[in-house]
Parts: sequence; C-alpha cells; structure tokens
Amino acid sequence: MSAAASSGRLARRSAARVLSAPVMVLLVLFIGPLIYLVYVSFTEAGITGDGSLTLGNFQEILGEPIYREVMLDTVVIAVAAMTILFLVAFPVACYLAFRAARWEIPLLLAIVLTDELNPLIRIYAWRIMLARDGLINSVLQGFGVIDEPVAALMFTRLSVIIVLSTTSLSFVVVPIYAAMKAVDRDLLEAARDLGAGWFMVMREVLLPLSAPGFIAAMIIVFVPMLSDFAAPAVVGGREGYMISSLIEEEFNERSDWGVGSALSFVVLAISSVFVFASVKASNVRRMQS
Amino acid sequence: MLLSAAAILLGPFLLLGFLSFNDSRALTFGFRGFTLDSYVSALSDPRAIESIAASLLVAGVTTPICLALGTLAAFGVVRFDFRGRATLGGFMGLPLVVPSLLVGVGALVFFIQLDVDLSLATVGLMHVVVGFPLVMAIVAAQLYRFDRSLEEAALDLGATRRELIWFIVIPYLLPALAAAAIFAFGWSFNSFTLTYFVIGSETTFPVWVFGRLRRGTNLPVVNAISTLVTVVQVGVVYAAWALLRRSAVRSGKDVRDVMVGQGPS
Repeated sequence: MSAAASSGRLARRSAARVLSAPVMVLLVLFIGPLIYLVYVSFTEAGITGDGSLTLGNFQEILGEPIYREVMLDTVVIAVAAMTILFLVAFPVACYLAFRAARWEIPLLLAIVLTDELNPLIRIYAWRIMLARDGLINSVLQGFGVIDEPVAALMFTRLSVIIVLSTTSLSFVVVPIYAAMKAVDRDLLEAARDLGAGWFMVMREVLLPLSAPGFIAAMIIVFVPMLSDFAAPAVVGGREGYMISSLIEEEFNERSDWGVGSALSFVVLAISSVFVFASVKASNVRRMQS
Repeated sequence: MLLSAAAILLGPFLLLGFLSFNDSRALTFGFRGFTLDSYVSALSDPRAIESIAASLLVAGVTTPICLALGTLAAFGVVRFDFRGRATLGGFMGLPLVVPSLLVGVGALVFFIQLDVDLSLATVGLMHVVVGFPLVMAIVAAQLYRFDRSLEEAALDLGATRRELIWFIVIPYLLPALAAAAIFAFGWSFNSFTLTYFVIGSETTFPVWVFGRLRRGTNLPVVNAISTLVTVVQVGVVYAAWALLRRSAVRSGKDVRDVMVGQGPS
C-alpha cells in the first residue's frame, strides 16, 4: 500500500469522525423533510386523501386560474422589488466605494446593522407609514397634496413591493461595494484621460468589472424575496398575495397537504434553477476574465 | 441621496421610537406630550415578556450547539483532503440557500407525520439546522487563512494534539467564533418564517408581534417593546463591531476587509 493511499484513507476516517454529527443532523432534519415534502406533493394527501400516488395536485395548481395568477404575481412582485432594491443599492455602493471617505466605515456598519434588526418590527413600522391613516397619507394630506388618503399604499401588491425592496439592502450593497473596491482605479482614470464621460466610464469599465458583485447579490436576494412570507402576510391583504400565502393557507387552514406540497415543490424548483443558473453564469464570467 | 438611504434604513425604527413615547391612543404623528405609559403596559404584559423569554431561551440553547456543530463541520471541510469534499461543503451550506418557508413547511409535515408535538423544542431543532451552517461558513473562512506552520512549530516544540487545539487553533479562531455566535444568536432571535411553521401554540417574540398585527395598526405595547428590542440589538451589534475592529487593528488588517469578509490572505 502506498503512503499516499494510506494517508488518504486516514484523512477520510478522521473527516468522517468530525463530519458525521453535522451531516446526520442535516440528513434527518433537512433533507428528510424536503424529500418527504416532494413525495407528499405526488400523493392524495391531507384529510380527504388516501395517500395514493397522483399528479392531481399539480394538475390543480396549474389548472385553476387563482393558483396561476398568484404564482405569476409572486414573480412580478419579486422582480419589481429586486429592481428597486438594486436601483437604491447601486448608488449607495458607488458612494461607499468612491466618495464616502471617512464616512465609509460608519455607513457600512449602519447598513449591515439594519439588516440585523428584527424584520417583523421593520415590517410593522412600514405598515404604520403606509396605512390609510398612516404617516405618508397624513403628511400628504397635511400639505394639501391630496384630499383623500391614497388607499393603494396598503394591502396591495405595491405595499408588498415597497416593504420587500427595503429589506436586505446590505446583502446587495456589500457584494457590489466589494466588487467595485476591487476594480483597479488606474483603469477608471485611464478611461477618463482618454476622454470618456462618467456614463461611458460606468458602462464600459465599472459595470463590466464589478459584474460578479451584481451576480452574487442577485443569487443572495432573489430566492428569499420570491419565497418571502412575512411581508405579504402583514401588508399584502387580499390583493398582495404571494405563493407563500397560498402555501400557508393550504397547510394551516385547508389542511390540503397535497396542494400545499405541490406549491412548495414549485418554489423549490424555481429556486434551484435560479441558483444553478446564477452559479453557472458567475463561473463563466470568472473564466472569461 | 445619502439622506434618503438613511431614511429608508433607519426611518421605520425611529418612527416606532417616536410613537412609543407619544401620549396618544390613536395613530397620530403630532407630538401630544411625553409619556412612558406604553412602556409600563408593555413591561406588565405577560404574553410579551414570555415571548421575549422564549426567544432568548431558544437562541441561548441553540447557539452553543450551532457553534459546536458548525466548527466541526468547518474543520472537516477545510482540514481534511478527501474526494467529494467540495460537494459536502456545498451540501452543508444548503440550509442557507433553501428558503426558510420550505424548510419550515417540510419540517411541519415531517414532525406531524412522526407524531412529534410542535413546541419550542421543535423550533430549537430547526434553528440548529440553519444556524450551524452559518457558523460553519464564518469559521471555515477564518480556518482557510490559518498559517499551518504555526501548528508544525507547536508540534515540533512538543505540544500534544489536544494542547495544539486549545492553545493555538481555538485562540486563533476566537474572533470568528465570537462573530459566529452573535450571528447565530441573532438569526435565531429574529427568525420568523421558519419558526412560525414549527412552533405550535407557543410564541417567540417575532411570532407574538405577528399575532398582534392581526388586531390593528397602532399598537402602543408593540411600539414600546419593539423600541426596547431594537435598542438592545443596536447595542449588541455595535459592541460586536468594536470587538472586531480591535482584533483587526491588532492583527494589522483593514477593518473594511474584515467586514466585507475578504481579508488579505
């Protein structure tokens, strides 16, 4: 037996000793439940079901318009919220990377800090601002901008988008900021010396070079937004329904495990596709550069 | 630009703080005078206090378990060279990318099927599932940068394996372990979606807030408790940062690199 082979076996045995506990925990409490959830989505489950295999749950969620509409709404809400989040985060990241000077660290800290605060408290505070008798309507009425309170601010898709787009700012700002920090300043200066305006510098130099930061940020925030439960539950009302709201209803109110699991399966599938595609995209980029 | 970003980030929390001291039952934004009434009723609301105690209990019990499991996992993935190591590392990171909603619903179905009663115990179990990969990620990042020659030096000087771990490796990992503990504790305390599905009839703090929200818009008790919780959280995060900065300055690193997680290696 060669020395390398025996040391390889030794490494595997010690690794097994160290890793067995964490891996067991995940297999029992994480992989097990997820596989069971997928299995349930293919059975006649719940109070009325007899546990036989079926595709009926999927036929139901794809056939009935209400499920289709909510699934489409969910994607629209998540994409809109992410777009707004990036539009806010991009200038903040630029400012932090290039202009903030001595404010750089305090600001970075403040941004990281706010995502560590309790999300339920944040959503509750947004509800106070957006409500019919809330802060925004009161201020607008006080200044005479509007006569009647704007009802569209609360219990609509818009309110869910607003609330979602103000969460997880740090998860977008920090990767973009880090990527921009890594861009060679000389390149930016060279572009400017060669006569490029700020827009040109941004489009031709800064954005392409900091693209990995954008991709990382997208991987991190899109799936949590798509599957967010708290925001639609608190500020969504009847109109701002997301797929999470349906899933919760199927499990907690209707006890229709089959349909609930099928909807969960859809979320799982979309999330997996998205994460794999994004990882692939970032690998390709890394190879190109 | 900067002001609007600050307003979006901190505005909601400042608004709650303002309302919590305002002397008014109805939702009004004019200042009607300073009062501590809502704090008095908040602190004498048994359900509110119980929910905070429950959250602290769950976070307090799960954090050490997450630290132990997460550190083991980090060691296994960083220190041992075996086939499938990268895949296994990715596998253990999965709970961080799979939506909490699915982890929660899956666990709900699983526990009910096995006739396990939902309680704070099931909440704790699931918090370990998501918490230890978080610890693993932070500790592994630090372990990768560890200078192995320090270990060889210690072994050459006659240290046993146990001494090596206690006197060289653990002290080196201490800042990462402290940061990981704060993140795991904070994650557990703030967790809503996952917790909501596996909690049964008990309440943690976020679940209590959610329950109250079904009853109205302006809730003085919620304003007061939320303000207290926020102040404590800001204090803890600030203290953590101060610690981080001290250790960064001592080891001659740029604190920005430490925060962004891209230390010069």
